[in-house]
Amino acid sequence: MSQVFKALSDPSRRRVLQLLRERPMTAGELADHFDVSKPTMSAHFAVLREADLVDGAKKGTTITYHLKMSVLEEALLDFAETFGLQVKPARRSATPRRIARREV
Amino acid sequence: MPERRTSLVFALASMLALVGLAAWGLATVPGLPPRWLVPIVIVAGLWTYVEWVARSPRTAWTPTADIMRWHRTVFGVIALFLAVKFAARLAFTAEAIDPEWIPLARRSFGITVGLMFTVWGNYLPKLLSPWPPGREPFNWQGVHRFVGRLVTLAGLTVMIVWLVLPLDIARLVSAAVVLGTCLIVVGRKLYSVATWPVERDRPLPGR
Repeated sequence: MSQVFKALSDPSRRRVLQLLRERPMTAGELADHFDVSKPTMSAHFAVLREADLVDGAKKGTTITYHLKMSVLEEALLDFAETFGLQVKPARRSATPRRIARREV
Repeated sequence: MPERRTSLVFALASMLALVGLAAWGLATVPGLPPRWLVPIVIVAGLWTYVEWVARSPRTAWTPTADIMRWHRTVFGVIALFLAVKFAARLAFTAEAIDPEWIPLARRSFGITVGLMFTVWGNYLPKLLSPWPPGREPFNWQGVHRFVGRLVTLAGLTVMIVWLVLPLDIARLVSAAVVLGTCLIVVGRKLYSVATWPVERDRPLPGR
């Protein structure tokens, strides 16, 4: 379940799931909706597959992604969308060197 | 979801337990109406049909491991549920259990039916289409998402109904909910079969 929460915590991954609600799409079609590099998109797809929220069927060089969400997972997606759930990156601790750098 | 072989063994064991119990009960306990055989025949018949369709060379779709596991687990759980219900009925008919427990047993079985529907409906949208991409005769994903939500909602309703309403009313309301759900499911699928050629060619959502 923690993998599901991790997958749903990112707005781009949520957008991928929203697009797949319309219909199954190829990786290229999905990537057209984002201004990010291909490796970044691949990483997003990997997280979604790991959480078992999507399934990718490979045919030749094309991967078609299908939505694979239970009713509860869809409800969580809607909840995350409504309340803008987003995991913020961990704040770096204020080491003495960083404090000194800020003071300069 | 259990492995493919585990689900097959589970379904077979549940079905054998159910059939064995039914045969023994009908032969030994007097006053047990033969109508108890009806659900057993329906479940066994449906399961045989699914296995036959999955193996038929004329079938246009390839049953995925997920789908077969799913069907066997569902039929196994239903058979197990019926076996337990049948065993309870035998015990009450033979007066092995105090009849004052009958209302509680009926309520428990009703709640279990609701729970089974809820779990089933929740998982339903996760099943992937057994047809090759783009060759489905209807909107598999759309229908399963809709049916999943509907069945989950129906299951929750049945659970609540059996929890709070008097037994006779709960029985009527839950039967109406289950029947209504079945009719809507059939209607949604027929609608999708009719509209899918147009829906499939709809342009992609804009950026």
